[in-house]
Amino acid sequence: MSTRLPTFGDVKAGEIKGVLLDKRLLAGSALFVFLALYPALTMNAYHTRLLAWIMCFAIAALGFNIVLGYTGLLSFGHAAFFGAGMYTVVIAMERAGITDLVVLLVLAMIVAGVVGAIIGALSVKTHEIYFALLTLALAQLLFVLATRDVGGLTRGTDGIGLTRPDFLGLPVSEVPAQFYLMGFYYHVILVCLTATILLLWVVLRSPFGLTLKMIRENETRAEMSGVPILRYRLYSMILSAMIVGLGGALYAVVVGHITPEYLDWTMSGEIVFMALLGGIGTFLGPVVGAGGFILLQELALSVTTYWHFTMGLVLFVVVLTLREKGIWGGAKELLERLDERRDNS
Amino acid sequence: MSTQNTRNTASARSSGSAEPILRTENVRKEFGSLVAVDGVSLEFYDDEIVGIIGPNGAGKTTFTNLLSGALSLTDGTIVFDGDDISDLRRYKRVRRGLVRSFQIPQIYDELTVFENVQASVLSRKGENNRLFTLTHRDSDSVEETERLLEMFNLEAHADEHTEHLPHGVRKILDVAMSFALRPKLMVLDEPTSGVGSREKNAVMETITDAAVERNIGLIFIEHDMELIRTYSDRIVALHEGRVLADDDPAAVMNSEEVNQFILEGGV
Repeated sequence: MSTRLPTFGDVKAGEIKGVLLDKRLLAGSALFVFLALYPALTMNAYHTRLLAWIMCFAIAALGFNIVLGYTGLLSFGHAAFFGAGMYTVVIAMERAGITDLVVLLVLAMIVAGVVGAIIGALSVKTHEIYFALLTLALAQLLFVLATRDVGGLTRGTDGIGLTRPDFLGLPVSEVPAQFYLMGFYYHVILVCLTATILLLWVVLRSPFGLTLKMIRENETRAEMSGVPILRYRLYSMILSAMIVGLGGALYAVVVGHITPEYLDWTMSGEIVFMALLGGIGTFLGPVVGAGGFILLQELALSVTTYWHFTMGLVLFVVVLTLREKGIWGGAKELLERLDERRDNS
Repeated sequence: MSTQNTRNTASARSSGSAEPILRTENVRKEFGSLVAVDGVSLEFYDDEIVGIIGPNGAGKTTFTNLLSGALSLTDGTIVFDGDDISDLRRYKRVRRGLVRSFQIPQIYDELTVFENVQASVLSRKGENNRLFTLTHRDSDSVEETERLLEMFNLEAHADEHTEHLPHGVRKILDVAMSFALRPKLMVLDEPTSGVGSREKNAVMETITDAAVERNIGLIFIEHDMELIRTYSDRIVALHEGRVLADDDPAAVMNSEEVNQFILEGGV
């Protein structure tokens, strides 16, 4: 019946209709509109800030999962890329007087990509625990450099305060602090997260994405199919670092004060935690994991000072019961089963 | 003298090129004081099927690992398609057309059969670096993958994840993935190991038919003498790292030395 519909190049109108009516796309669009309107509708500064925070880490966790979920390498050094993104923004503003947000974000991604290339080049020859420890050690090196204020760029543990960037020549930094986040910056983060999701959705389903999965599933076979595996591991580290760097750069403006703790291994641990919680075997798991982690942390902090214990317990149970599916994969499976049961009855 | 014989059988099969596709010169591999491959000089052509036999420890697997680059040479030279590849990286040997398959199937367990084969097709085309095409929409590689699945009778399994496949199917998939690389010469390490005795012939048949159709030279290691006799144009017998015999099947099977060291050795 689709033959009666007009065609656009190779794409049939029926296909376009199918894409537009795709459940996932509809749900995603609805969620996007809801999130975009949320600050204006509720005027809740606390919630807006929390959502902004979650979305920054969602970007970082998505970027991290390229390496863990797709290439199969566990890095404990991703704080280096997150921190590199943050410090790039603050140093570029303070030292070079760059105030445009777009320039700052691009710059942060480039710097994080270079850090990723260096750490990657030094570590991709190793495997598993050795890779984890080597990335951890190299990232700690950056942490120590920032703490000791080597080169006089980071002001050590005091950290650096940050003024608000402008946007494409518009003096948005002059609006009151609350409106800056709720009326402008929050939406920048939302657009960046959406762009990251769309970009990675395509890239991870491309021949490049398949190549990363080949390396994860069977390195010997991948190499014996003519794939230079070390080079592709390095590519995945660079891509991952750039996206984590974007998350860090966006987050820098949200917190407004950058200290070396964002380069510390506990930061790497939190990113790993988020990805595991949401599910490293799923595409959107890291986004869900970032949300789950931050909300859980807020919740736990409000009822107990032993919040670390609470978090640890949750992760333990999730990983033990759901493994690589995480809460996102587990939820999807549950929905599918309910669907089946409904169909049967 | 024995090679003369082979050339005749080989040229009987097709016009063939005069140059061997693969030539090893005095190839040697030592592990400490143990000499696993002790000066092997052989020639292989792209229009013949060569079976390699020998008792355990004869150096068969080590020899194939030297060819693929999984092990480095202690001494000697490997010339493939006119070029010295002795020090060439593994993936580059594959890209030149020297491909191996594995005794234990090496496949991507969490991917479907279709994705497994398409992964090889895309790698051969050097398209691993394409970022903005969806693989399932890439009609060229999808069509080629479909043809390969048909050729190896794998269509029925196309959308299955490979971890649940029967062993024989995994073997065939492993070979199909190697064929997707369009090799000039394929080295198969025990293509029928672990396959039920009734299926063995079917597996070999599939492989050799595909090789003849695509004009691919085959080297295969095998313990089953019946299979070796049936499918080889030539047999190389290895013993303690050396070439004991290199001749047409009848001659090798009747050779006194081969009978003494290999056939009666209870292989």
